[in-house]
Amino acid sequence: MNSSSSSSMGGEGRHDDDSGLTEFLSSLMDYTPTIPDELVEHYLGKSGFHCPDLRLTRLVSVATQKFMLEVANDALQHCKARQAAPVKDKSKQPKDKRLVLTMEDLSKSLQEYGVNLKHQEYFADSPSTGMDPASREE
Amino acid sequence: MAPPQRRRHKEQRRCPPTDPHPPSPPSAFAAALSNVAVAQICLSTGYTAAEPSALGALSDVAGRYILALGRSAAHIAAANGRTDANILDLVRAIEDLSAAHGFAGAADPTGPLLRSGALRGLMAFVQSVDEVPFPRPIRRDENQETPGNQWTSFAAAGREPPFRHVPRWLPCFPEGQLGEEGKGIGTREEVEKERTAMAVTDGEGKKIVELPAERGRVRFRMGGNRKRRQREG
Repeated sequence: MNSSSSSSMGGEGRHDDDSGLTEFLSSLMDYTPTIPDELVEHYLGKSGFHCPDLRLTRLVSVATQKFMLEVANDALQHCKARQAAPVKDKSKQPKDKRLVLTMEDLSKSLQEYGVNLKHQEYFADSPSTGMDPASREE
Repeated sequence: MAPPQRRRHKEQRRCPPTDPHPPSPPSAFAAALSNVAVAQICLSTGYTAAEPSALGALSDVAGRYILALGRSAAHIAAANGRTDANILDLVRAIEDLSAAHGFAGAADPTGPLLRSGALRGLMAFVQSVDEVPFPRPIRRDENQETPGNQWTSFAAAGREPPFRHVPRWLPCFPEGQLGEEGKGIGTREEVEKERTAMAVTDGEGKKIVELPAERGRVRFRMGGNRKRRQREG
């Protein structure tokens, strides 16, 4: 009894889902993703994925965009939490509250997604790395 | 017997295991493109600036994510006996990759794929997020690295394969590797002709190999030593 009722419910639901999915896929044709199609096709071609349908390429692009946005959002929360934390020494408090994507926040947020990213020790990607914040501002 | 075996074992152990899929360095153009795209995504979340190393790392992760999605979908398609992937393979791949963080409905892996929670999440994402198109159009490279579209078979090119055992649906041989007009190595008949010219059977049934080029005669003198010995004696 339970199975029959669920199957009849599922039949209607599936119909709705199918139409929703078709709409979604056709809406992807008009959607301009942030990650360009050419880039996605390049990587997909490298990976051995083969499908001539542009909608699937767009779906991959959208999925990647969503993943990147989640990672960036998590890093942003880490960054905001660090800035909002009370600092005892007021001279050390940074003056500008600019939100900068740093390796520290990024590695913390990526760790939740199973990516172990580590800053190299003694890694200097800009001439001011490693200096005091006070001298950096000058 | 034991020492050489042991030594061989050591030598085997010394050479490092080779990775079947060595990580190839990403092309600079693709890396630059994904840098821009990821920077746009970061900008849309509220960041105002980014460290170059962090941006590079995040765009590298983006490339790897696409690669992992494509690889997983292609594997699933191949496991089901297809060469081209379809939406079901892709949804399964997306589910696999988002399983680490979890999604609605992940507890029921036997449910219908098209009603997957991951796919619904993507639908909601597309409806909620603003479109941020890539700032510039990208020139499509004509000679792309995708090997799938490049080759033409012997049948499509309208040529006959140079060997009888090569089926017509195989891709054409590259130019200059095997001369199609009888250059280079030559066809099978020519090779056989050469072979028969070189091997001539003599009367007893043995094969004598004749060298193709003529050589000057060489004479050997035998018994020179014996004469000397006789003189000494």
